[in-house]
Amino acid sequence: MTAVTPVARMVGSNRVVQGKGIVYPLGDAEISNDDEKALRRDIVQQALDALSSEVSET
Amino acid sequence: MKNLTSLITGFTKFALKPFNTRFKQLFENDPSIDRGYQVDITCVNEGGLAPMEATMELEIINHDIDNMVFGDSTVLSGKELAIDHDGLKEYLLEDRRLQDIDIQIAKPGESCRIGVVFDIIEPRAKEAGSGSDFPGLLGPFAVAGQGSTHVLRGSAVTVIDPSAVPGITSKVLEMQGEPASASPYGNLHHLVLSPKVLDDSPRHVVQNVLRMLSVKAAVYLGNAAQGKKSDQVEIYSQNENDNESREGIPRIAYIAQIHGHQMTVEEDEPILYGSNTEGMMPILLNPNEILDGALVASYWVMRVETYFYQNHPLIKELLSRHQSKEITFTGVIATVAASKETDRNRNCMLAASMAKSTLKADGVVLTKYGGGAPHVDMGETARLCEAMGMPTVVQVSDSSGDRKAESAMLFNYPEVDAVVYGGGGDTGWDVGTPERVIAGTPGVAKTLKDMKYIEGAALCGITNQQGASKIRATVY
Repeated sequence: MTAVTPVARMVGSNRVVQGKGIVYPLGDAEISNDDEKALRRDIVQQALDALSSEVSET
Repeated sequence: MKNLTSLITGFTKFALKPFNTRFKQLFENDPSIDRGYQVDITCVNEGGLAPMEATMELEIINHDIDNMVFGDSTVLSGKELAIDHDGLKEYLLEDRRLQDIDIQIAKPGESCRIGVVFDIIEPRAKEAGSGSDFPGLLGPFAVAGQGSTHVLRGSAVTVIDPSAVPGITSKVLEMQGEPASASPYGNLHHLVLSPKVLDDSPRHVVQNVLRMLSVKAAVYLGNAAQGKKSDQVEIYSQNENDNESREGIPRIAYIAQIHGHQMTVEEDEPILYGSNTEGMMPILLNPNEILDGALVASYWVMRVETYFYQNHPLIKELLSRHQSKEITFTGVIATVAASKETDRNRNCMLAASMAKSTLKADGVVLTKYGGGAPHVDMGETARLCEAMGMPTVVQVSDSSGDRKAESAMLFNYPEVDAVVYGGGGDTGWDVGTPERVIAGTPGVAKTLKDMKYIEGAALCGITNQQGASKIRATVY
């Protein structure tokens, strides 16, 4: 999970989930607490989905 | 044609006057603007319109300063600048957010250590009637980079941050020995301002006070040269009147990051023309605008001072090579490094596309602002430029603590193969105890005094990520 995906790709990570921003990869100070929690759940869920999916060479 | 010219001139005179009068009224009387301090508009030169000529021309009138003293009035006589200490103090204390301000002079070669530095600015003032000082920030809005600017060369206004402590990105100014000769600031006469802001002021208020002080003092001093002649005049322009003869000369654009949004900006943080750059997309600037007060350093800085922008060596070099027709310098694309992926994609793509389609560049020079994240954005922008057929040169500095080349790189694109290394952070010097310390608090003064070793990264002007450094490394 990162807000700087070009670096994740460059170092060869095979599962990259995009975070919100460098200042807050898993949050957002500009939205309400409830919305932020939903956003965080969303990103973490994506990461879990990514972990449980097969990776193939392209 | 003659009629048209006189019509335009007439219109300029007509349009300019009410514009300035209107602005003054707005500035002084609008009760909805609670600035918390008084602005002395009389000390600030008037604004102006956008350029009336297609080619922007900036005349820099240099006045060499080899001595700075306190005197009865602020006056430039020969190469000596006398400063009215009490008059300047009174002017600066008009800002009601200040409790007090200490003003001292530090000379080159003096056994003196100064810190923590908020910013260093070269004293400058627009020749009366030819533009606005720091437009949008201090003076009324105008397009910077045209008309005449008086420069007190060899001097600086240095502002101390009263609530900063010495640390990795905090700045120390050393006035003697090797660290001084390795810095562009070591041989300057510094007017050092050490302000005391009202107790319990929020951090962003303190920073805004410091920013306003810095530019006000710089213009106050610069105005001492008002109306004075000098034989050291420089003209900056991207004159392209000789269009035909420029055929075959490579067109070079400069993509410059002016902030990195991995550090959030304050609402009242002026960076570009008074804007805090939040939500900023790449914008096309004439290089003269950067040299002439459109841009100041952000509150969070890493190896950059406003003095650097005023004397931007990369821009000066590109303009000089433009004049000698080695290249055609097509302009500056100012951009910001992003915090969010969507902003990064947008900014990198638009900057590259602007270089290609608007400036029709054959090649691009890129620099970054701040730490690792801007590094990535610069690399990505360079990759896009290369993909669009524009060869690039990027300037990097060390992003790693262990000094290994591989960990210093946050991008690795085979096509981005012209990399200029702008200096690392581990150069440093053993230092003795200075006779005088100018600091924001007694605590900081003690820390500064007791220093036995100072890292280059903690000193003003030793390393600069955008191309100003006096030190060159050699690999044996």
